[in-house]
Amino acid sequence: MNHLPLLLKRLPNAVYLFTGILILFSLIAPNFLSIMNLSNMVLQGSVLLIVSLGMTIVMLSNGIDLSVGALMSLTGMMAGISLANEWGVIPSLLFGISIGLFSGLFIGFSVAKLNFQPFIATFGMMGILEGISLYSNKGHTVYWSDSIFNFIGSGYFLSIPFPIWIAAMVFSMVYFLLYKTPFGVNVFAVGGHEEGLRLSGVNVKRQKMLIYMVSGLLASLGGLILASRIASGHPTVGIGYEFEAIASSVIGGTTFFGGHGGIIGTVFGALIITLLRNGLNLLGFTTPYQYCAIGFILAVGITLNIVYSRENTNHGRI
Amino acid sequence: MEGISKSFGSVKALEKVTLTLSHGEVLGLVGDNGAGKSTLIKILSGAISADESKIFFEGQEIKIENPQDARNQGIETIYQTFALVGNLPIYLNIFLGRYRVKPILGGLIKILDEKRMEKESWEILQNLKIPFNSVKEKVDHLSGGQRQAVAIGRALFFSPRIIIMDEPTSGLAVKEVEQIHQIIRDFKNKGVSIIFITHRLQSIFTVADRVMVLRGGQKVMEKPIQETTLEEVVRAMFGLYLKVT
Repeated sequence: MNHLPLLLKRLPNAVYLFTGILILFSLIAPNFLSIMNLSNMVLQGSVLLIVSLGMTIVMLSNGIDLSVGALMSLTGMMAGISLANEWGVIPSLLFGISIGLFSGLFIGFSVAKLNFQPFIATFGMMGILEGISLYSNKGHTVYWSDSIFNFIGSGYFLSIPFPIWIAAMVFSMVYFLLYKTPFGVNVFAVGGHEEGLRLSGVNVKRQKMLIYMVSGLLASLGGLILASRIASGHPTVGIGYEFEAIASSVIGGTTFFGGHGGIIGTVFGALIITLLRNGLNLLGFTTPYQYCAIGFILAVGITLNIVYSRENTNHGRI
Repeated sequence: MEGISKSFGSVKALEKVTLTLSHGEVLGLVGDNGAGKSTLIKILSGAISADESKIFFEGQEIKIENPQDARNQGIETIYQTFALVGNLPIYLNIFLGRYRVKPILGGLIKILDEKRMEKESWEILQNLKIPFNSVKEKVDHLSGGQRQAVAIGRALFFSPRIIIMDEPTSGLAVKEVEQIHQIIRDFKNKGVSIIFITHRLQSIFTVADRVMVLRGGQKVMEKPIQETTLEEVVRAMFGLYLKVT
C-alpha cells in the first residue's frame, strides 16, 4: 500500500483529465455510457492512437511531423487506386505502407542529412503529399469493392472491432521498441542531448531517419484503416489528424522540447480527444466547437505539464 | 598524431601540430583559451575531422572519422560538458551507445539487459568512491562531482587504452579534485595513456609525466614535467614573461 502514492504520482496527468471529462460527460451527455457509444468511441480513437504513437516518438526526439494527416489521405488514395485496379489486398496494403516508409525516409533524410528544421521539412512534405493526393484521382474520391480490405476497418474479431486489435498490437510493439530496445533509449537521448549521443558513438543521423520512418509507417497504417472504415479513398480525409496527434502527445505529457514524455500518456491523450469529440457530438456541438474544445484542453494540458514537470516525477524515460 | 591542421573559416585553429603519447603516460595539454587544445582532442576523439592529419596507433596508421572509430580503437573521451544525457538514468548513460543486450525469441531480437547494466554501473561507480543513491537516478538530478564520476565511469568501463580528459577538475571542490588525481594515477598504473587538459596548472605538476603547450594553434613547448617549471609553462602559454608567485 505504501507504493500507492508513488504510483499515483507516476501516472501521466492526462489520466486525471481523462477521468474528469469522463465523469462530466457521463453526467450530462445522453447515452454516453451505452456500450454502443463506448465501443464506437474506442473504435474512433484507435486510428488517432496509432498515428499519435508515431508522433510521440518523433516529439520525444525533439522533432515534429506535420505531414502525417496528408500522408494518411495519400495512403488511402493510393491503396484505393490499386484496389480499384485489382492489384489485390496484400499488394495494395504493402503499396500503402511503402508510401509511408518512403515519406518518412525522405523527411528523415532532409532533417538528418540536409539539416532542415523538422517543422519546415514536414510542413513542406505535408504540401507535397496533399498535392499528390489531390492529383492522384483528379480530386475525386476513389471507390472499390473489396470486402477483405474493408474488414480491416469495419470487421470484428471476438466481438471487438478489428481496428482496436490493431491499435492494441501497435501500442505493444511501440512500447517494446521504446522501452526495451537500444532504439528506444536512443530516441530519448536524441531529444535529451543529441550531441552527447553522437559523441558516444551512435549514428544519430541514422537514428533520426529511422524515427521519421516509424512515424511514416504508423501514419500510413492509420490511413489504411481509415480508408477501409469509410470504404473509400478521399484526398483530404486525413487533414486535421496532425493537429490531433500532436495534441494527443502533448496532452499526454510529451513536451515540445524532446526527451520527456511517453506513450502511456499518449493513449490517454488520444482518448481525451476522442472523448471530447464524442461527448460534444452527443450534446449537439458541431465540429468547429469540438476543435475549440480540443484547443482549450491542449492549452490546459501544456500548462499542467509545465507545472508538474518541475516535480519531474512522471517524465523522462521511466 | 602528425601534422594536424584545422581551420574554421579563415581562422587557423591548429597548424601542423604533432602529438605523441607513450604507453601508460600522462600528458598534460595546456594553453590559453582558443589555443587549439579542444580542437586537437576533438580530432583525436572523432568529434570533428581535421583538414590534414595522420594518426598512428601502435605503429599502424588509423583513420578516425567519427566518435565510433575512436571508441573502437580504445580511445575514450571525457568531455568538459560531460556529454551526458540528462533525461536518462545513470546506468544508461554509462552504457550509452554500447548497451548491454540479451537475445530473446531464440536470438531473433535483442533487448536491453537493464538488470545487468544497473549492476555493472553500480560496481564501477563504487570503485570511484563517489557516493550515489541509485543508478536509476536521472543525471539531471546529480551534482557536478557525481556527473563527473558518471562520465569517468563511462570511459573506464570499456577497458580503454587512451583516455582524453577535457577539464576534468573544473567546477569541482578540492576534495573531488584530489579524487580525480587519484583516478588518473590508477589509470596510469593499469597502463592506460592519458591526455589531460586543464587550466589548473598545479594538477599538471601533480599527475602529468610530460607537458605540452599550445599557443595560437601551434605547439610552443613540450617537456618532461621534471625538466620544467610553472613559470616556464605560463611563459609558453602566454608568450610573455610573468612572475608566478
